[in-house]
Amino acid sequence: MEFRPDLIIPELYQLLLIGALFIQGIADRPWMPRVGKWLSWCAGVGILISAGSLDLNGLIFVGSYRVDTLSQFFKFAVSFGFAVAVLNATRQPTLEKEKHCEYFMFMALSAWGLMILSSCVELISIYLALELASFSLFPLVPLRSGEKGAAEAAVKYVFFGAAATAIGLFGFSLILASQHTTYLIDFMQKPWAWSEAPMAVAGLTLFLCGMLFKLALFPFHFWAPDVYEGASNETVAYISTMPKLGAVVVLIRLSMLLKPGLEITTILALLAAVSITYGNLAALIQTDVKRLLGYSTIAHAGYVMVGLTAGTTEGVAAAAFYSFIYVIMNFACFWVICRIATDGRNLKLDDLNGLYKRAPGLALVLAVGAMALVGLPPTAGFMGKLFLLTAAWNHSYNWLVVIAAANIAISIYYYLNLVRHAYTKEAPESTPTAVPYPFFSLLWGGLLAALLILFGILPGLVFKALPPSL
Amino acid sequence: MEILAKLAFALYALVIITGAIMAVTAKSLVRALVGLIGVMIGVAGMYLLMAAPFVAFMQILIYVGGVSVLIFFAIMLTKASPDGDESSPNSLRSTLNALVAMLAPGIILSVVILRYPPESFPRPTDVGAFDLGEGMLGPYLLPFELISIILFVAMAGAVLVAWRKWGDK
Amino acid sequence: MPFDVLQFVYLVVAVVAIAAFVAVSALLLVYLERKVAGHIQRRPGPFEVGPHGILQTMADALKLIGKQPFKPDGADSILFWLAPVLAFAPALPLLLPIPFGPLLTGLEVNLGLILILAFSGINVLALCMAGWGSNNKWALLGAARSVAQSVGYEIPLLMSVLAVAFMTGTLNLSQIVADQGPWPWHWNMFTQPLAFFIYFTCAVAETNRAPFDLPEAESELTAGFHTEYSGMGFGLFFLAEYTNMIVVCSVATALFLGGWQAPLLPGFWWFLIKMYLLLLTIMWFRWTYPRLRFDQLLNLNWKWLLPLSLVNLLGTALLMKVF
Repeated sequence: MEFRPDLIIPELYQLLLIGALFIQGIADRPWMPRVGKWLSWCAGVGILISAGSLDLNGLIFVGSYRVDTLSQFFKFAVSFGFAVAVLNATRQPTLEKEKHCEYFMFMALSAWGLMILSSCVELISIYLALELASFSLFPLVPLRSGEKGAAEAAVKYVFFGAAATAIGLFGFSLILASQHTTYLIDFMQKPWAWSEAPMAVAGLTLFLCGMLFKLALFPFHFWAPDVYEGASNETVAYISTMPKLGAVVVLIRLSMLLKPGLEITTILALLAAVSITYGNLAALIQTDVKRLLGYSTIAHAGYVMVGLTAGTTEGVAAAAFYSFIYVIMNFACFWVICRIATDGRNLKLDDLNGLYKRAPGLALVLAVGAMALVGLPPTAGFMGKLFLLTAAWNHSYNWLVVIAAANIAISIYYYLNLVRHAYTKEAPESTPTAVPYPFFSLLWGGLLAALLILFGILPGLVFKALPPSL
Repeated sequence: MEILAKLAFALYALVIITGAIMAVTAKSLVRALVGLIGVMIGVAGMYLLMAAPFVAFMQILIYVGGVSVLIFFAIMLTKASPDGDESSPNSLRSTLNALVAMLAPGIILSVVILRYPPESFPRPTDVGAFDLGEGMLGPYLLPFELISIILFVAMAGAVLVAWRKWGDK
Repeated sequence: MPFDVLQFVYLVVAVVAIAAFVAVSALLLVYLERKVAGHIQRRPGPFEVGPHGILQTMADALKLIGKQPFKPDGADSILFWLAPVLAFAPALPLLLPIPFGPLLTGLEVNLGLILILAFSGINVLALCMAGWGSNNKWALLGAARSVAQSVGYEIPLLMSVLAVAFMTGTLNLSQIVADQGPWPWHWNMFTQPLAFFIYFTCAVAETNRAPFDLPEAESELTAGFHTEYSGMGFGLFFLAEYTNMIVVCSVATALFLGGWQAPLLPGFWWFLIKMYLLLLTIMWFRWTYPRLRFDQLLNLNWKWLLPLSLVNLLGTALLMKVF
């Protein structure tokens, strides 16, 4: 099997960006290009490149790296998310100027890890790519000047991350001990039922525990709201969306093994149900916007799982679609938050009061983003949830679908609460009348909102990129 | 030979468990580190028992001779006083919680492994440096390369985070 | 592999023989060191006990054994007593795989080189424990220095050894020796001069010998990490230092100087002669070069030895690939 560099052009391009950032980071010339500026453009080119490589197909690195429609779709989603995140973070108020290069370098490394992750079909590679994606985020969290909570958040993140890593690795050792292979393709031939291979099931469960930590699914969610509160708004925008993509793609790869009826699938379904319910209920009482979105992330991770437990092509496609949509809608909400919090503080719900007067454009973007997160038509969130639930109905656990649907009703309250604060409440006298924001920030935010509505009306645009043969 | 191997296993397991307990319960960080070193040496012994001497020696070379020495250095740079917040005795409740948290997975896993022993070789086959090299440059090429990137990330991240503290002073 | 009684007996004999060899060599080396120091400084050195002071080290050893071991107040008792033992304990496994003669190897292992490198790292740990456990600021400073030093110098040392392993394609020391020829231009030193130079420099640093003796640095830190040790506690550290010197010189002999291979009467003797020549060179260094400053020490390692060893390794790999 020969090595074909043309298959990994998006990854190579991303690596090029990382290299450029690294060189600029260690250079000490008096003149330097502004990182935010050139990187935004280059990341934009990255989207085009990964869009151009959507149709690639092949198997390299001795069969451990599969380039197929699924991986290319997720690479596209990652490079899209990366570009938005970079754009979002260029004017970060709480980031010291001399650390811009490193900040973006780690962000790029994390995105690179996710890109690699979406192609890995071998368990150690999966594990390491996931570690790369999450390790790179650890240094980003404490980079928030003038905030004591940031260090605390970083410590929590690192410790829980390390523990999750250890658990996942232990599970990995059990899988290896009982199945004697790490290639997913060989896993297909092996039994995965408790009665036949209990050790492998225990191992896979532990391995998934490590994975679900990155996904912040229910029992492994506890770090998420604290970390989100401590880290800067722009960092959270990245952390709360992008690693989900990676975890979802791994679960899709593993879903070849997870047929309904298997013990692991049942456990996952249970976790998904609890995760959705818990996330929504906890989000109801939050007043800090970032914490609120943090809990909602937990719920959304659960929704994606609903599609995956179905074990059908439609379910997987719906999950992939939904996670891509989730990236857009979460970024849309965070885009508004980052623009409003001009000094980088944590926003309370009351800070949104009267937004429709102060910044009508941003208020509209926020409204669209929140409606998409709820799943109201005509936004893409509605289509995403619709596909998920219909795909899962009668193929998976019907009780799970019912719970998910009931939770959508609960979530209406707190998402629309955002909109209510922005539109119906008046701002107190003391707040400045208008939020100063440049024209471009409105343009990009509007673009995100427009995408949400566009994909809501024409979901086929995305589905076309998704493989029929999943 | 069977009996000797079992004895060796028991010995190594004892070293590992003693070290682990010491690492968890020690009041002073340095003693905890000594416990950790004990664990690492015990694990190296286990590798020897599995006929993987190269891995065992690497474990000693890297973990005992390298990593733990660096941890030592880190402890020396901090004010690792034995009477910090953590040194207050644990409440009975948290001790019990910890015991349950430790025993539950332990018992489940050991029951699973004892009742359904995975297929294994009656006698371990020697895994030499050549086999390892073939593996790392063959089917496991990608992980092998990824690890170096992860190391780079870890180091650069540590520098980045530490740099900030420097600037604050 | 069935359990072989003969093999076991052989191993036990080897361990005992090596222990005896180490003890005798250490006595001899201490004497030599003082004599060399004396003559380099144009004075006779020890001269009173026995003819030409030959029994001086015996007397010193007896004194050390007779002294009371003493633990300072506030020292961590476990670490304090564990450290000297840990410093000396790895010495025996370190010498086991070394081929002193064509058939004279304590333990024939395929990974002999790795075994030696692995166990030699434990020494640093002992220094750290001693430094920390002594509850003494000189000792702590000495330990901190030794960490920075030995962690740094271990890397180029490994790289230079690796270059030789690349060429010979084996990690078995006996095999490496057997691959070299009798004449000096058959030795690895001839094909890998840079690796030899780097190895030897790093070996001197790893054994904390002057001019790299910062962890001890009598004039600044009293006695560095073993300031607080008396009696056999100090004795063990002393013994460990000389054993480590023997080990690094033996490895250098086997790797670079053709081991027991020689043009005339190859055998055990040649190994010892070469090893002792290297040991004398180390002593010669000590009384020739002044001690490095700490920043010089680190600069030398990270800016010179490490890149050089990398270049050497890459060059070796390239040449191996081409030819």
